[in-house]
Amino acid sequence: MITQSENPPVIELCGATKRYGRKLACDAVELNVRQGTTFGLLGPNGAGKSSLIRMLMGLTPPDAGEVKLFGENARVHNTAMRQRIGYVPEVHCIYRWMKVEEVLGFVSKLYPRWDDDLTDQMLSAFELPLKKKVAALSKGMTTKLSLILALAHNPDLLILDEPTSGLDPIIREDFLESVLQRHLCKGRTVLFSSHHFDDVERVADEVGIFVDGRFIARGSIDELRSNIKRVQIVLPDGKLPTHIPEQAVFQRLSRRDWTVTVSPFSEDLFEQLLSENHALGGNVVDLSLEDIFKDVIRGRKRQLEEIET
Amino acid sequence: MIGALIRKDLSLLRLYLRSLVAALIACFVAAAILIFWDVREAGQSFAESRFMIASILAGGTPLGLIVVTIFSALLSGSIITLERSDRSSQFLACLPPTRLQNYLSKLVVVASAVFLSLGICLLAWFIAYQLNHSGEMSLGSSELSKKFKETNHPPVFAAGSLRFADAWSNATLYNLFPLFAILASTTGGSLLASWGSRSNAVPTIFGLLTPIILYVAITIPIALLKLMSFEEAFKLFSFVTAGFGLCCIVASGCIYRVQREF
Repeated sequence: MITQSENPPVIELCGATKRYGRKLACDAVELNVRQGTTFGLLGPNGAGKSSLIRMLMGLTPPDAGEVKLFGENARVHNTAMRQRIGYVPEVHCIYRWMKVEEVLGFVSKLYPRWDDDLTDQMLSAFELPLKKKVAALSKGMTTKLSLILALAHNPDLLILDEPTSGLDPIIREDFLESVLQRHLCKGRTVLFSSHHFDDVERVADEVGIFVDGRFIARGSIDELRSNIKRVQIVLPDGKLPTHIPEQAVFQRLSRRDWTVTVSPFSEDLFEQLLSENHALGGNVVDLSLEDIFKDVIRGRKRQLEEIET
Repeated sequence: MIGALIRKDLSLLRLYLRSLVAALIACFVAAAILIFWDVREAGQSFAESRFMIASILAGGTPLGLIVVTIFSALLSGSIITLERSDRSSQFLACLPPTRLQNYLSKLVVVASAVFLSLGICLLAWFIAYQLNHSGEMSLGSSELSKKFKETNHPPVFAAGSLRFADAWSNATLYNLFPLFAILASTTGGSLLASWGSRSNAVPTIFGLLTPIILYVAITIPIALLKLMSFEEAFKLFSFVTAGFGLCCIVASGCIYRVQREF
């Protein structure tokens, strides 16, 4: 039996670097997403997520390094490879002068695996008006059309850049629970970028936190939760923390309460923190993906501020 | 796949293509109005109705050729810039067709529209010639005087149109070559200039100016230095213009293929 870790890599980034003038959007990014994996890409605005996705789609070339999809250079436009990819961009650039039915008619001719039944199902689920021009659609409606275009040809790789933005909660739920889950059941690979942590938590096997053009944390959600934990320590009156471990990602002191997020966490580290800081007490808090993200980002920001000062 | 791309590009340019059809019709309508007015002002009438039709078709042809030249620049200046201006080129870049297929589809659409409208103009010219000469044997002469009932003062525009219809007899592929050269240069110039612009105005103007600039650059120095006769200089201009136009079309395709950003 083949496990997921033995599957061939579908997405490979090897030292992929992208600059826009002085701004470093992607800094020697290394990434391997294997077949059948759903990879959640998390990051604040301006972290470089969209640049990374644009490099994957061949819309912008890397300044250095390699970007491969299905083992082939993503920059070289290969029709057969493109027919295996479904893509939902953050900003939709579908022909605005076309009607919805014209867009579907045009795009369906380009994919040999286009599924008309699936298209009809999604059209009725999303209540998309066929006779309306794309220019007249709302942002949410355009996102729905983009999702249909990306999913209806049953792609082996689905690249979604903020796919649920603009969708109302019911449609978002429907998309995640029904449409996307059905796609995932078929063992397909998904790269999913989102600001909605619960969306990512629900569907992703692996998560990467992308900040300032590089991954600062990566792994399965369970791995991240077991590795990154928040330790709450009560210090004696008038005392400051004396031992700050190098594993500290982010820390906050409020009177006697010292909260420190550590990565990687271990029971030994917890005991060490209690003893070396003469703690009156302490406990370990499991973090949600959102809390992990916030602490990692805040810690990184503070680290940069300290370097600057 | 190419079929779907061609249909998409035809839809993209549908407004311009409809305008081209309307402009071509307007050319022949304008010629008809001018001829009727001209004939009436001269107090004349055509000897046979076929001469009237011949003069309308022949009178509309030069206007039609000007329209075709303008639209060759407009269509080729719009086919790439329209997709760049609304960023739908990014949508297209993520779809399976290669850049070469995308470019070929655009070229097929522009070339078909230009050649079809050129063909209509040449057909009108050919029909005008045939109508002008179909009864020549019975008339016994192709003289202009035989074509109007009153022959003292033949109407200028109508007579000129019929003379132009006669010129079809010299319209060999060789003689029509400068026309093809000018259309190739307007198309190529516009396509090449599309890469520096998101609006279709600049490429269209550049395309229209291309044969004029080449004409000035080639014929004026030759005339000043008296290097060759005007006919030879015009022949050289035709070959250079055609070559430049084709080079621009190929160069534009290469840029489309290797462009880094969309």
